[in-house]
Amino acid sequence: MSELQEIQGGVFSTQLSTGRAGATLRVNADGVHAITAEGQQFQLTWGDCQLEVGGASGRMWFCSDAARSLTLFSESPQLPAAIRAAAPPPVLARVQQLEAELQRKARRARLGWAVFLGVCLLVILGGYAGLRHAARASVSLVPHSLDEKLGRLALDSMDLGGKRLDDKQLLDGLRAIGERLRAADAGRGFTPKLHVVDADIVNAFALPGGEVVVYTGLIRAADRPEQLAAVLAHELSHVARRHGMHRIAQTVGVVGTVQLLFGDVSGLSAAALALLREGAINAYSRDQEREADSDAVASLSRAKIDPRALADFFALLQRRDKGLPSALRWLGTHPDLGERIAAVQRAAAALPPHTPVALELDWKALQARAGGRTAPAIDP
Amino acid sequence: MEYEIRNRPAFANLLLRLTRGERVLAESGAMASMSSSIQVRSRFSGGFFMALLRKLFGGESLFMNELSTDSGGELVLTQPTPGDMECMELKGQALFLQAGAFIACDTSVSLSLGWAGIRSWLAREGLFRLKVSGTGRVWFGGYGGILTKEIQSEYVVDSSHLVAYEPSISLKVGLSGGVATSLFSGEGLVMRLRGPGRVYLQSRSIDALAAWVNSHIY
Repeated sequence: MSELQEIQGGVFSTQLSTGRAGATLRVNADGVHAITAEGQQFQLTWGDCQLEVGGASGRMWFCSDAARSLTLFSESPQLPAAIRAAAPPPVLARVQQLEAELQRKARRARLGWAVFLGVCLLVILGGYAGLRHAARASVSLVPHSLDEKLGRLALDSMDLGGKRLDDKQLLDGLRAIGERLRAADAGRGFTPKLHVVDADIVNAFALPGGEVVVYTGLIRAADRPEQLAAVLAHELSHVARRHGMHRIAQTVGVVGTVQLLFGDVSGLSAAALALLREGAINAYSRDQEREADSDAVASLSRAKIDPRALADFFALLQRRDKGLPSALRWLGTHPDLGERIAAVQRAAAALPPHTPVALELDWKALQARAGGRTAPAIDP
Repeated sequence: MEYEIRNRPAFANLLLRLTRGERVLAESGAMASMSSSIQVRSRFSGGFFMALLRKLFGGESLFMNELSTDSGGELVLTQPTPGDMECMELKGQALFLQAGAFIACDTSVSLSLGWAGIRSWLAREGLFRLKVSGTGRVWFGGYGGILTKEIQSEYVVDSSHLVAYEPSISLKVGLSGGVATSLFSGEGLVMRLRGPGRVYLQSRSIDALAAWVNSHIY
């Protein structure tokens, strides 16, 4: 006969001085036996053993007599296994019933956890979406004058990468384009304030309130004035949609924006300015860029300027960017240029046909004032 | 090692008389006074990770103090709240202690942290519980008097009154009555304990005291 398995458990008994003790259990054809560390022995025959499952873990097996003066118990899964191997059919039926209950409880617990985790996820996502929405909504409460103040402060305090040019011919050319776009409601609610900075950078950027900086590198690189107008239309959309302010609101939070609204322009405005200064050129989100492209197409069309000029300018950038590693291009916040070109072309094709009216400016002279030389290419 | 719980029940303190070579493990900060012959050594009980878990989830200290003597001496241990203390002698069985209840134990007793479950957490009894097991004595305390109750069937306890219970006790969180009764009776959630086994309850609740003090601050 094989040696009986020893199972760690315990005993509740009125015969024990403290009423309970840890014990080693053994199960055989007669019933369940227990022996404590001090050598006291207890036994419950199958006829007397009433099986139950419970305890703090919910997986403790109890074998008690009818009066509950003696209870043998263990949390080890070895106990039900040993009972299954040795007990007579009526006890086996009870074991199966209890195991079925345990399985039902485990299923309920799994379901409960799934629901709990689902609710947690919903709360997190809902909270995030709510905060984003609240940040967006809070910007609409902020007066336009604050955009203008922050934009002006940021422009005055940031490193533009070159000298600001006070060239009447250049600025007049830009203002002519700006006026044409403004008449077509680009930058609605804000008056464009255009600045030219002398640097070999093929870019332009907008700050809240209508401050738009155009680099001479961009003027020199553009093939025609409509491309410059397209870039300006894009930047004015950032201004009109207050993308910079939304970015600040999402970063400093709803409370911060409300504080700004109520005049706390010390700590918070310093943080807002730092954000604008550091991220002005390339920190709009991909969605904001797509929105600005779409707006630019519409406002160019209203201003009777060929909206495909925006796609042409992107194509020009794409040719210049060829030398950049693809991973680096992907890392930029701006969406992929190919995707933007296709989106602009789709939007332009969907517009009602119109005859563009040429911009009244001397493009060659303007480019000459901007330096007249071609900006150095990334890929020589 | 002899022990005596003095000044019961309101200001109970544990007096331990150690003979040469005897040691006891005590909660960090529990020592009120001791003979100069007693040496104190801090250690992570159960290793750093287990100590960290006990600190984060078990409401106990990161360190345990092992107090020992080469020549004999006595020491007095207390708890932060006014209230009684109890001693349970483990004979191979285990006991779960609620956060902050543990005061001291024989070095033969092992300490670990057990998952108490969402139900326990809902009843504000914590996600984890301290488990003491093995052979030896364990001393623990509560706020107010400590009531010992042997449970065979179901017994209802208001949350935050539970101090310690045997692993054979199952816990369920439930409403004290119907929804309206639970809301307006001031009892809210209760623990439904099911035996067999022993539970230790405290006659007062720190949460209730905190709520009472809070209501008088402003």
